[in-house]
Amino acid sequence: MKMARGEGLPITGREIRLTLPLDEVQVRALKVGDVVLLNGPMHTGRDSLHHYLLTHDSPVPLEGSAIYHCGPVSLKRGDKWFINAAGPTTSSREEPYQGDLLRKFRIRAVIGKGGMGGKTLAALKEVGAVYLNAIGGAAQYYTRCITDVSGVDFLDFGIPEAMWHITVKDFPAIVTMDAHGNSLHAEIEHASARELSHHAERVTL
Amino acid sequence: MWGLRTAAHSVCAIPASRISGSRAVRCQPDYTTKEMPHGSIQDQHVLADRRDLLEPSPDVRRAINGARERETQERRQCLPWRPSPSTWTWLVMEWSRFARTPECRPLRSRPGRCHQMAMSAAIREAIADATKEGKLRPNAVDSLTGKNSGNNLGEGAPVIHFEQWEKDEVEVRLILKGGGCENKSIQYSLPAELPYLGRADRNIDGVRNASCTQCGRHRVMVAASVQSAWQSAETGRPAITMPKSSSSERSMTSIRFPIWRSWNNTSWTSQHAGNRTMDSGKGNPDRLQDRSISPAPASFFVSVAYDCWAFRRLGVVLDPSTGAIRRWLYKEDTRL
Repeated sequence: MKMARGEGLPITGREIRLTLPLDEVQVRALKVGDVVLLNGPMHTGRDSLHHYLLTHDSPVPLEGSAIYHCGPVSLKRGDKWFINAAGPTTSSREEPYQGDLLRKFRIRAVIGKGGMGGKTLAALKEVGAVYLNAIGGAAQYYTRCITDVSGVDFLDFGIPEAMWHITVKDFPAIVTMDAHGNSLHAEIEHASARELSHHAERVTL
Repeated sequence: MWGLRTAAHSVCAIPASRISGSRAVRCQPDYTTKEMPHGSIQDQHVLADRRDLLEPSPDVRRAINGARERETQERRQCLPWRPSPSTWTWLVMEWSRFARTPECRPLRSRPGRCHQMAMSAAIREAIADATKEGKLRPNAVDSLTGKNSGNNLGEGAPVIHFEQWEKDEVEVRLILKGGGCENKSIQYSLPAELPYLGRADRNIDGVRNASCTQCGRHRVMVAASVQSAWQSAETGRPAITMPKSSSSERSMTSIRFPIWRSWNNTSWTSQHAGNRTMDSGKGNPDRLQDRSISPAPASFFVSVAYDCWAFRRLGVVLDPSTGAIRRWLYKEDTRL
């Protein structure tokens, strides 16, 4: 809480503080628009990991866990890894995989930027999971929420694509897709489309 | 007198990395972990991060030798200054500090009387150093093997543009491109039926669909009427590019505003749900620069790229005879 306040995020007292891993009841209680502060272990994953997990087991248990769509900048000092920057990456790239992985591993939270599509939304509802939107470009802010890097798997995928096991404290995110079929991203797209159609006049020289 | 050993050898290293650097890495995957032998290329500083180049295959050796020959000849010619990698390293470090969130891509420079190969080598050197320091994320991935080079160097990485000009100074601009800015860029060919907009003809009328669905935008770049192979380079330029026929001020105004109005009035950036102030270049025509491109007749692609709100760039103007920094760009003047 102190971290979030110290960095200028306005704390209203209505934020929901969650400790990972999550259970289904906690997740089903969340609604689009809720701001959560995550605490505990989470795992990063991008295209390579999602592709891999479709056909393989996870090296760590993922039930109730949070997958963070993130390709960090990591440095090794001695035997210990440190994360220099860890902002969210584009979640829509994982749309072909995410729903299946939610069902297979019972992941409860997906964190990323930009939202995901209908296939994921259906899986969130079925499994009891949420999509949490983090702010793209604010990598340094999120990095300060990381208190530990407990390990890494699949380093051969490259640093950004590896599965980093991190521990966070008061990691803020907004529920933009909930376990009840609501998606703020879909709503915004429809609203934007309506506005865009007002600007459909021909462009002439 | 040149202080150029470093620059000279880094020039030699360019063709090697371009021709088969990634192949060398693939064939000898653990080679980079071995102690660096001291061979014909002596400058350890230059090659500290390029160990894979030290025992190249015969074709690479030929390329290196050829480059060395050429470089020696060029050295005798009229080149008053070559950048040292330390200059570039420093610039990239400074830039990274400025940037804070380092995920990188294109670089841009406008050389006056300087050696482009030496500059490229110095830039690549600095990129590798900055990556090693954790200032930049390793983003150069071989498309075929999926292997990350680990040092941000690879085929086409970093992206470096050179443009000669008449001014007696060297201008260097560095731009960081993050992921969402890249993978959410769009391209479509005209004529087309655009979602929510209807028919888009094979002319400027079709240049209307610019959706940014990830980060809030700082700057949107549109390239129109360009062969598809040019799209990436053109949208990476700090300008809005438009077809030649639209180069008059009057017509540009008439084009700009429908486009910008629609961008600025829609909540098109879904990440910042409901936030309408998503374009920090909003409504400011000064941010647009128009360039004309002559397309092939039947090729009308529209490409839309953008820089996100955390737009990160830095630039310097260098003295071409000494390499000294005359002034910084972007540090005070935030206009594009």
